[in-house]
Amino acid sequence: MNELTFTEATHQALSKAMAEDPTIFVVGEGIGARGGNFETTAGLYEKYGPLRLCDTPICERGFIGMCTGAAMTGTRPVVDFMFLDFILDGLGELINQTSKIQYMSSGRIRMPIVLRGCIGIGHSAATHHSGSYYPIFTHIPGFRVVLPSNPSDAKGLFTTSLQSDDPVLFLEHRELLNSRGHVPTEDYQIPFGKAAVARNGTDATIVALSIMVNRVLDIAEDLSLEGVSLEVIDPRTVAPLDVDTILNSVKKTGRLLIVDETFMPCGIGSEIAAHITEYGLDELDAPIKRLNGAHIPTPYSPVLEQAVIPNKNSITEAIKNLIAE
Amino acid sequence: MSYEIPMPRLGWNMEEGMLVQWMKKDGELVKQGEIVCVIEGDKATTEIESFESGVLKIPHDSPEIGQLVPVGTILGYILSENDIDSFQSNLQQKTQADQNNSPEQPEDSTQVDSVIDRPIGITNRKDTIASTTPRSKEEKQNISPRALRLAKEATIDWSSLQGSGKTGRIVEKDIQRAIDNRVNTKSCVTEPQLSSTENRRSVIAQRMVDSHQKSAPITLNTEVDVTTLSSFFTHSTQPSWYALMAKISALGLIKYPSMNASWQDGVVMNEGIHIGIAVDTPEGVVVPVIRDVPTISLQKMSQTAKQLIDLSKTGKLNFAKLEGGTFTLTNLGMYDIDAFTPMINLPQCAILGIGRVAPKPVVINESSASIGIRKLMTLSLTFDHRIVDGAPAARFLQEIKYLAENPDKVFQVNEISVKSN
Amino acid sequence: MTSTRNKFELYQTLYRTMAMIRAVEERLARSFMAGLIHGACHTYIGEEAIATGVCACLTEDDSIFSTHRGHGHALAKGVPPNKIIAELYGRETGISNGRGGSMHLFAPEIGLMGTSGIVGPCILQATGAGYSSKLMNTGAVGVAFFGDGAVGNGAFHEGLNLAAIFDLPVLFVCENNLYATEVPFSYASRNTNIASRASNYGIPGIQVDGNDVLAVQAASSEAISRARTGEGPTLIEAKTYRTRPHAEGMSPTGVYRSEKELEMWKTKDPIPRFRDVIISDRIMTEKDLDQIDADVRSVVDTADKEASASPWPDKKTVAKYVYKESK
Repeated sequence: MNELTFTEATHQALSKAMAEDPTIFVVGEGIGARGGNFETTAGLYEKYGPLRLCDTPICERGFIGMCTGAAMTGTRPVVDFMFLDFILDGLGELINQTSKIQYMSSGRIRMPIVLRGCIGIGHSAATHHSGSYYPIFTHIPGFRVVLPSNPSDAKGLFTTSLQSDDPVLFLEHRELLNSRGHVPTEDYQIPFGKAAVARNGTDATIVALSIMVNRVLDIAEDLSLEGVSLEVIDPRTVAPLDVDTILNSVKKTGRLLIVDETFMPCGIGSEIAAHITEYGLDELDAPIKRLNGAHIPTPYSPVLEQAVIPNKNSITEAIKNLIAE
Repeated sequence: MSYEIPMPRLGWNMEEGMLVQWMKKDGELVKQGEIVCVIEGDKATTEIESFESGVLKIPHDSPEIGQLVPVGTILGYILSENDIDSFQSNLQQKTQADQNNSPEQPEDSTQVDSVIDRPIGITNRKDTIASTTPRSKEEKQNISPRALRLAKEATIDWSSLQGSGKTGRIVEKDIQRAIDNRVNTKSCVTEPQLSSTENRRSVIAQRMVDSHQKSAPITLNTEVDVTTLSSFFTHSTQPSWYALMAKISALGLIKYPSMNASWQDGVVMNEGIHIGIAVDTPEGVVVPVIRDVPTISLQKMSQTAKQLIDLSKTGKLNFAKLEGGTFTLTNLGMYDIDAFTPMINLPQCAILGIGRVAPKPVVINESSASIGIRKLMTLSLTFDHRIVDGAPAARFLQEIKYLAENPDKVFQVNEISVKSN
Repeated sequence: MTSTRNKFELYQTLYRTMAMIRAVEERLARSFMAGLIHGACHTYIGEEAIATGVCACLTEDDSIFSTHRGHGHALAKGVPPNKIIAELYGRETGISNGRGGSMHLFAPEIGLMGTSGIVGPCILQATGAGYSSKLMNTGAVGVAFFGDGAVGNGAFHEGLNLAAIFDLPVLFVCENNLYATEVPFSYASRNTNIASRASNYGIPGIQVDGNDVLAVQAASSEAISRARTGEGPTLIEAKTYRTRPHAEGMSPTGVYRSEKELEMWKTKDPIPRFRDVIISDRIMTEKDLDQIDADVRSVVDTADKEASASPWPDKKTVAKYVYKESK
């Protein structure tokens, strides 16, 4: 076990995978000699050269389509978008081709492609560099959507992603990249569709996504001093989504809040709320609540940017309101 | 003109940096484009070019070499020649002005509540949810699914429970409390019976002592002319005094809500108006509660009161019916008692004692010295001075008197139907 | 130059393939009118020489990526006619098990990596196949078939550029039949010379008569050799014409082209043209060719009957293969 940053943890997983599987190659802007804007491929170009660390022009649709074709014909591309916002140019390729080819070919063609990128709001990156958009991919059949919240999970989930034969969106919150955590040195995989109970508790269940897991855990610690006992669930993947773990938790606590930085309409919180209402109505002691980032394109000025993200005050208030219901 | 040299932001998430080396000395001439200092950021060491030509001024409070400072911290200045002398005073003025002009960034502001989060038609219901309109029994009871499930499993009659949830919702812990409070009897599935007479007596004794010791009781008396009220309902059976006084009291309690409050380490306002009626039984006094009195018709009140009295006297009253009262009525009029000092049913604020109705001579008109016979009834209101003072309590009683003497302000003549219940 | 024997085999294969495509497409057009085909059906009649000429240079290891007008490519790559017909009839025995229909034909076992209902992606995917080939050093080639309608699409620009800068073994075949659905290419572009666009990417662009199967075959052969030897991609513009409507059920001329033009192109029909060449070069006789025609018709008849009698897919399998099936 050693202490690594989030980026170091995924780098470890990628390095290992590339050493063992010669069909894995990385494609993206600046991921070659530069080592990636977020150091995702630092040092790998020197080891493996330009064919496996392929710097591209700015043509996301183009290289998404190219990597789709490569994945269909025997290799395992990792598309590194830098900022996930850039993936949007290629939505047509992703939704009409990448997600559907396994199905249309009756499983005779695999789609082992990993699409990784940084999501999330912070440091005034403003509206073209702050998107999350994972509900879009969660909605489409064929994708796996992965949202690690800490370095240890990041390594395990990335390893699984690199071995998956399905197209995987591996989404890393930009504000988490430098976060540190204990990471096992050995190789390990974390399966998709298995939520983590990040904290045990009895008064309410808080499901949090990506960076919000960390925010909520801090608040849970503070609130425990006031005698409030919170159970915090980190789904880790939203496609597939582990609803059972959430349901079992609500059976215990009777109250549920979902905290998610990205927009409320049609979001993951809606999905969870619908499932829990359907399968756990008699467990509910209060209405299910959602706390999301504001449904607003991300503004630039720090004051405005801060106002659109769930913060310590708004999350604490939401939890207390839930308990008071 | 002086130009600032701040600790630069060298990376998108760089928060602090350190000065590694000054490449020019304090007072030295710097040309635009020349390297003036070397900075170490998150990842790398970078040479910083001067944007201006002039003289480098490194203030005495400039960060030390190797000291980590936030991005934006002033390291030095580039001054034009003629500014050098006035620099120091200018600097002080400038700092002052900066402090006055640039507003501070607000801290951790509360999150924007974006109303466009929700689909059209669903507005932010924060303000409308906590409705103070009491619900009638006919409306769906406000209980969470979890609490309902638990109540079913534990066979708790929750219909007269007071909910501790927001909006008065009955939640799990209310049912749990009811389960915990339930008197231990032999296991019975439907209607739990009251305990033995001995047990009952000691419970009453304890309650009376508590009331006497803990509250600050004052009793007010007033004589009420109920001549009109007692013959108001022409077509049918006269409703019971309990029913009439409960409806009248409820109106008074709406107008004076403090009289409906409770004392639980402080004044606690109650949303609903739930009136208990004291019933004499062989086993001792019992006070069943009628919930949400303002929402119940007089006819229903009368019926319900009668039912509760019957159940109480036969010992078949459901325990849950004793819970949750906010005001109590007690009637000793049938025993020829005029006025008395009823004891407060803690944690309530007040109890209204009803005396006998008797014909008495009264002054009809003082100036013409005319005297008549009217039906008079004394009301005895005991209230807890911890919660309410004398004057407001008196005003409440005065209102009760007024309404009782003017029943047309409260009831319809044909409010009770001709048909029997 | 190929030897006489090779020439014979080549010409026979070329002729037979074109004849087969023609026969299948004519059958499908008839079936469509009879209501046996669901969804859309875009026939390749008139363009057979292109699929035939290109695929004659490919092996099963080479990957082709095609568009909505893909039956010809599928047949030329080696999909048996009954599997095409069954697929369009929506049967379990179709080449895509009934899941794809006309526009989603897949046979990865023989390098048919999909026809597509969206214009453009095939260009990018073929580039990707080229990338795989280069990374794994297999020597395989990726081929994209698309029409003039794809040339204005961003995928054309991005795909050719990527293939060029990475020197990928890809062949881009643009079947310029002058109309994208019903929009003339002359309207959709100020530069109607598609092959000339190759120079924007620094790759060779070759214009051929798309109705001359030998010309197509020769140009393809050269381009594929280049690709296999690491010299990078080529753009071939094959000029042709579809003599049936854009999709079955639509008007053959509508308001966008004239009867006169249509009739003129019918005279350039690639199959009779090649027939003439074969006979005049004394490779085969008229009788031989008639025999091939009869054979092909018989194969198609049988295929149609088989397809019609095939079972429908099992509803219970509808959710399979969204993701990789776990064992």
